[in-house]
Amino acid sequence: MVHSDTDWQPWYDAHAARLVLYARHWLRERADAEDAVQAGFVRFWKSCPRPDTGEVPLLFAAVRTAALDLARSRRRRVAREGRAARDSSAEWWDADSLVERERAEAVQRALEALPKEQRESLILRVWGGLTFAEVARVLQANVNTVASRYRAALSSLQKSLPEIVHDADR
Amino acid sequence: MTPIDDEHEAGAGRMPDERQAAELATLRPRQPSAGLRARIAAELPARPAVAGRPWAGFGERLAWAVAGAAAVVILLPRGVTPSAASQVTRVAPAPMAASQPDAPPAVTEESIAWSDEGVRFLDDVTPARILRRRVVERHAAGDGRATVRLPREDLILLPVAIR
Repeated sequence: MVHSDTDWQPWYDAHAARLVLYARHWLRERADAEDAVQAGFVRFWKSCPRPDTGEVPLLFAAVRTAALDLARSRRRRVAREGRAARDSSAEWWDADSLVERERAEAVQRALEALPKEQRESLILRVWGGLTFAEVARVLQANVNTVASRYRAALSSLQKSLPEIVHDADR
Repeated sequence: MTPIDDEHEAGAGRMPDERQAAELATLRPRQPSAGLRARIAAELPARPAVAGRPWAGFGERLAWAVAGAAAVVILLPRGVTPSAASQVTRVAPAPMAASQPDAPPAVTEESIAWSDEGVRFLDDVTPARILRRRVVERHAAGDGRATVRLPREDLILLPVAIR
């Protein structure tokens, strides 16, 4: 296979939206999350120019590192400038109707209330589409730990968003 | 505790969780802005096709070279055997005596052009400097009745050490 500059595009199409969502749970601003995805994606592709699907966790890990770096610098800047955290109203998900938008906002609020470790495991598993083993690889954590965090997150959401459980059980 | 290897094992006996997760997954992450793709494209410039596979196309060139050599063999006079015709030396031989009709053809070569194509990776970890040399071979039959000019291209790979 001959490589060209377009090789990364299918990977971008497949993963960009979920990477931005993943980055947003550290970075409230969408633009910051996209900056992190850009840095992580480019770093991943330069270090791994012929990736296969088994390396998707490395892509998430690269974005994670970039997002954490950016989040640290943002915190320092906010503290230095004495400003409150910036606006976080932009939605994490696409919503075609008012009902969907309200539901998406409710889920976002519930996710933001979760402990970070639980939220991260849940986002990687549900919206990242990763297996538990892959999530563990991204987080450099034990698979059982990841699964426990995921279940704890779902349990918390079940309490804070009973209507979603109700819908799912119907 | 037994490690969990995949989602099936992790999800065993957890159907309500899986239903809840499936319900959550119906929320579609927002698409990134159009500018993100452009910014990434600006940072991932085009790589020359040869960078990934420096030997791409080499087989085709080799096939043409073999075909050319075969043509030379066919064009040579009957008195010259194919095996002798394929003997190529890089040293200009002594002039052939007219009394040696069955002697192998003399081959001389003349460099036409050199080009330095820089350092490329032959695979992920093996860099090499690539030099390309264009040469014209002159094949003279042993009895001097025929001369064939045969262009040739040499690809020279010099190992590069990176410290």
